[in-house]
Amino acid sequence: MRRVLLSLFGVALLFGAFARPAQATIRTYYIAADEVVWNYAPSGMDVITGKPLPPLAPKQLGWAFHKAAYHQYTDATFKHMTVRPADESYMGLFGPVIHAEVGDTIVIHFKNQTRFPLSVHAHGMLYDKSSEGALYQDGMPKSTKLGDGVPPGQQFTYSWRVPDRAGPGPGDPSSVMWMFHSHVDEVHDVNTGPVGAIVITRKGMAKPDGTPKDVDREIFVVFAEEDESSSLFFPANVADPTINKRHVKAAGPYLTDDELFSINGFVYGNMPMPTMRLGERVRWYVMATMSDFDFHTPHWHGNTLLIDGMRTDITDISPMEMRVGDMVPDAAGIWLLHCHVNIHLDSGMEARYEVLK
Amino acid sequence: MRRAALLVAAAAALATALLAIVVQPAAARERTYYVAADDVMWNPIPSGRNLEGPRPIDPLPPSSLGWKFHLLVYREYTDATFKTRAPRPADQSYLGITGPLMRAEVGDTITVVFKNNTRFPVNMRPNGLKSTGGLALVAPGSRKTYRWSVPESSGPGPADGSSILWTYQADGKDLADSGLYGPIVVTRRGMAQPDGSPNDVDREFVVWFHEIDETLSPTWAESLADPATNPHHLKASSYPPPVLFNNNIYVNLNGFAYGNMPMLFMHRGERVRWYVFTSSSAFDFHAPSWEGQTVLYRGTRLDVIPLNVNQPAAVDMIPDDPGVWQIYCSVNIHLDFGMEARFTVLQ
Repeated sequence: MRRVLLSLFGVALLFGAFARPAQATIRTYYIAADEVVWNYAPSGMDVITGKPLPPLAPKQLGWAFHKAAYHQYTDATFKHMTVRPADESYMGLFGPVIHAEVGDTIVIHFKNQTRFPLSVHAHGMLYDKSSEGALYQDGMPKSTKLGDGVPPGQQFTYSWRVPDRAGPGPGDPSSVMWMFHSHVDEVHDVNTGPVGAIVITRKGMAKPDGTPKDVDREIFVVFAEEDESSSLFFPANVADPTINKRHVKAAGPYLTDDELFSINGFVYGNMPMPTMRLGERVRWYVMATMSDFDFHTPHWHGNTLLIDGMRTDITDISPMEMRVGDMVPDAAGIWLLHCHVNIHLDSGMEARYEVLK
Repeated sequence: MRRAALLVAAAAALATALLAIVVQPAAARERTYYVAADDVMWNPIPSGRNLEGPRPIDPLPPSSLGWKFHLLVYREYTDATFKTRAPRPADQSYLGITGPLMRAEVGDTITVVFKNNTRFPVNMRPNGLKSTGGLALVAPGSRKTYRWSVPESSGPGPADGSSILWTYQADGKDLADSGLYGPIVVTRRGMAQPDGSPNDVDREFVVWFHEIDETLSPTWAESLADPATNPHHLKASSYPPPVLFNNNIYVNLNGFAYGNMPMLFMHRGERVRWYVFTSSSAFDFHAPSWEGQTVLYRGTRLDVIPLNVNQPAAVDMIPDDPGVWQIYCSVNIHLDFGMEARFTVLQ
């Protein structure tokens, strides 16, 4: 009898240990802003139609540009870039992805390896003004503004807390996405390229790595009107004959034909296909950037999603808005994902995803 | 002993009576506003500076008249003589060109005594409330009394908070860019304080995300003719028919640009409700964005919400991060042209 009681007690103890939400964790990331030469259509083809890309518009420099991107590194030496798994190659310019559970703290060691001052400005998180990463007249002393514009070659550490208000609301699923981006001169920084994602999972709903327990696969897409004339690299792109092969002259401070309507930095179906399996619980995180016409209507062919508790295969998204949709694919095959705004679709804002059996 | 029992009984009776008073919904009220349409000269950047910094204000293009222009606005007066303007409380100075903030609890009636002080036929009509008085335009110098009732169908829906936002506006031809818009907050029955504001909210702010195309305003000719608003004496003939993104479009929050809206203040931990709305200029698509805090909108946690043409929305915030923060529109050409303001979260 006594042994039975003891073992019951033991089971209860074990149960208690497991049922208790994981302790608050400090999640540390090493992220650098790097300069890249980015090609929006690396295949040189319109992959959706199988035909050549449309001819360059008169004032278009080309399909490849100097840009900046955030990259994740393994440690504080910033010598080794974290290798992106092949099944995340579709993320292109977007990323990295930070995961945390409500109650955690996120620490970002940031190194600016570009030629421009850049920052890391997070949405949704709770931080001191010194970790805001946004430059404006907010009445704070100069000593707290280092992170608002990290000079080329320098480092800064941002610390963000993740209270309830950074996590899912009552009508949200088990996780929500927030973005992070550079905010020294926001409009130009965002068109320069670096944008990443933060996933916050409801307390008690996270796996040890911070991803939600009730989801099999997470997919991240950013619908971006990339205005290359607003990029910090614009003069460098015009001046570089490997980018501006036709020596297009900029008549003023901008060109009219350098708006690229991209998904994760790809146009005309050049995005590698994200893949998933029938019946998996797939969570799509969707966001837009902030150019003039960054109003999009992402449309998934073949499968439906639940967004805000409602069934749909299309959603609407405004500049810098973030949205979460859950899909349990039941139709196998290769399907289109595109923006339904006609000039966007015409300009190549389309990609594909594949559902495997 | 008997005396004690009597005392207890009396206390109980008193408590019951008090409770009845407290619990009983307030009787439906009639709320009267004296509102005139006035012609004003407005400057979206009264300080002349970008108070957000660090970037200076972009110089205006040569075909732009300047920062000052004539505009029609709704303003509140103290009574039917329309002689004295009702002073706007200091903590509402940030409302700028936005019409007077009206309030009602479901069941109330709003009476608007309206006078048209402008040189143009204009009117006033609510969105979402039941109106008598029709849509006819009111001739310059004339008056009209409107009665707007607030039935259950004008109040918060089951998934709304305790209060929602509607707007009133002029809807004559060419009045979309006139500046004639204002807010109405409707509170759920039984949830209102005597002034109509919701009793489960500590602080409310109203922000009109607004694009105004001056060339489409009825006051455009006046702005061209007035040397105070047209210092370079530009000629009307130099203006082709209105085109997209012409040089006399101003984006603003409650009429202010580049951080010139008076600072909003709130305390950490307060229950703050933000009401945002748009009007119906050609590209009045906005993405209201808050920095440093998050908001709950339709049950989801966000810091940017979508807003279409002529759409009101209410979001709730419990600020937890002290400091000076921005509220702005995330559409880049709007932000580039100063569609930004600041708010302070005090400890």
